[in-house]
Amino acid sequence: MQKYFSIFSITLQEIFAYRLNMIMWRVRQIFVFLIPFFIWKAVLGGGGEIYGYSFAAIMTYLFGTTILRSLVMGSRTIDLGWMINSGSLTIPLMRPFNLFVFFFIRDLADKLFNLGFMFIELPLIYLMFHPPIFLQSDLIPIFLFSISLIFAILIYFYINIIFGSLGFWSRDVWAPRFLLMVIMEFATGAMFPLDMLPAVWQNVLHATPFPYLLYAPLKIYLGTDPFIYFHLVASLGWVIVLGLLSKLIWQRGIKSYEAEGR
Amino acid sequence: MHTIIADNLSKVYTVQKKRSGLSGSLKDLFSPIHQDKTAVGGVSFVIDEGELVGFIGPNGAGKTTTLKMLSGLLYPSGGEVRVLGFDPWKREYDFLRQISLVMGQKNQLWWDLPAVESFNLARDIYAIPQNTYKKTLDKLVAMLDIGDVLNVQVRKLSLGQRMKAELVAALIHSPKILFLDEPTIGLDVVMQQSMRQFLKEYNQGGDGSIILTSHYMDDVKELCKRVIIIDQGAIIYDGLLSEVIAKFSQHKIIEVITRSGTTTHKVLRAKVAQKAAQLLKDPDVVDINIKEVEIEDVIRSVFSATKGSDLKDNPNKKVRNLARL
Repeated sequence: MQKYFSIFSITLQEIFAYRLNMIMWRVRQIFVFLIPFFIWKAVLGGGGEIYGYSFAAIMTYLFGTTILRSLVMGSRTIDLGWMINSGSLTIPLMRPFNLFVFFFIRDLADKLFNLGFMFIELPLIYLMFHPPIFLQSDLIPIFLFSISLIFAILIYFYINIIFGSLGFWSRDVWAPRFLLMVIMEFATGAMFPLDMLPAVWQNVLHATPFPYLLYAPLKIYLGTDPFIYFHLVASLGWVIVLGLLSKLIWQRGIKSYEAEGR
Repeated sequence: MHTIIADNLSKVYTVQKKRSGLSGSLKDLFSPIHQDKTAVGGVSFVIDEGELVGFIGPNGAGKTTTLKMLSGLLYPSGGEVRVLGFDPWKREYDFLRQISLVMGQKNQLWWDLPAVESFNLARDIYAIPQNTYKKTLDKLVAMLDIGDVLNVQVRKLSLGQRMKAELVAALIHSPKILFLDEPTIGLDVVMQQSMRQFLKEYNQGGDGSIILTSHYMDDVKELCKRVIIIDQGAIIYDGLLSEVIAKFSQHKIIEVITRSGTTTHKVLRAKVAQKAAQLLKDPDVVDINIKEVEIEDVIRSVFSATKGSDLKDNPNKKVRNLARL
């Protein structure tokens, strides 16, 4: 266990070594909130509702996704494709530890870092914009939310492993990743609640893993998801499917690893 | 017991062949041409405990590829390999704990942190007891003389200091086998020398094996008794370094010193005595030396003799060509 704890701690030290990078990243987090804030303010600031959402309800939702985003999407595994292509995967590969655990631990360190900073940023955002905050007091939704959060973290981890593993076969790892980022920006519900979409599109999206990253956990927390258990089972299903798929792809890919760089 | 057994080990890469020019690049987009490239074509050898063996060969000969297969990084395309009784490819923890791989151009230290952090991490990863760790670290730091830079960010170290720190990180868990890929590449002459000195002492101090690849003859000359010469993916010599000359060079050098200067003659071994006697008849001669051809020259000729020939299919022919040297 000690070895994984040390990996955790050295990853954090590594993040802290890049001070400017770290600060800019935090500033980015605030902007991520600002953009949809002003869009929705323009649309709903004067009062009224759209698809059943008032300005206050939207703000609660956005505030929620901002927090969830840094927990779910904080990741170091996004470097995997680069590590394969540059040959730096060689170093962890030669160490006596489980590589998936290694990457997951690094992800957790990144998430802890995000969580720490959120305590500074959230009051700041709150003071600036006064979004109505919803504190869930019922224990059952909190419990179910925690489970769906863990699933979301795992789903995102496996997606990153799969996309990173493309590096075993192709040098072009950035274009697919970029496409993924753009798709995720709306398919996870980061920009707007997915129940604003027509039912058909909602169903289509719910057949993909993306809504289970932000939208589903947040709705469970807010207690406004009519299909909580169905969505939890679907999340678990994706965890299993993506987990198996990433193992399979990894085992195939690693055979064609060329440990380049020399 | 043999530490390493490689039997008919081979690695074939699939590479995309690029057409030339812009139109070529466009064509590559739609119908890429793939080609198999044999990096290592069926090599066999055994290495014993405590040996210090040098793989030598020109760039692209297959040295590094062989090393990567021995350490478990690459999946062999064919053949068998056993290292410490393990199949390296499976990368079992018990195997990984007993080996170490250092690549001259690859950084295993955490770039943004002081080197000592990487050593501490290694201590935890390999579960080294604190007092053993302390002892090994002190010993290595003293041997390599890098006590003063342990707390400096790795990115700020000079290449020489960094390579030394790399070695500490690689040896902190006292591996039974150390794989070194071009350990002295890019280092200045003084630093190269101190690296060699260290490796020599380290090898004498324990029963760990060291397998190194290099294209600097000096590394090999100073460190390795045994060399494996590899070219175009095939082993062309495996044996004592001291016998390379006798095997590949049929000539000796006679250096003739006269009052007006020194001349050298390359003479067939069989005719050395006869030629020397003949040279001595010259009244101007002050002294003569009979020397072996420099090992660099021998090896250089070995490689240049194989260039562009179709020796691959016929290793015997290669040796025959070499005999002309």
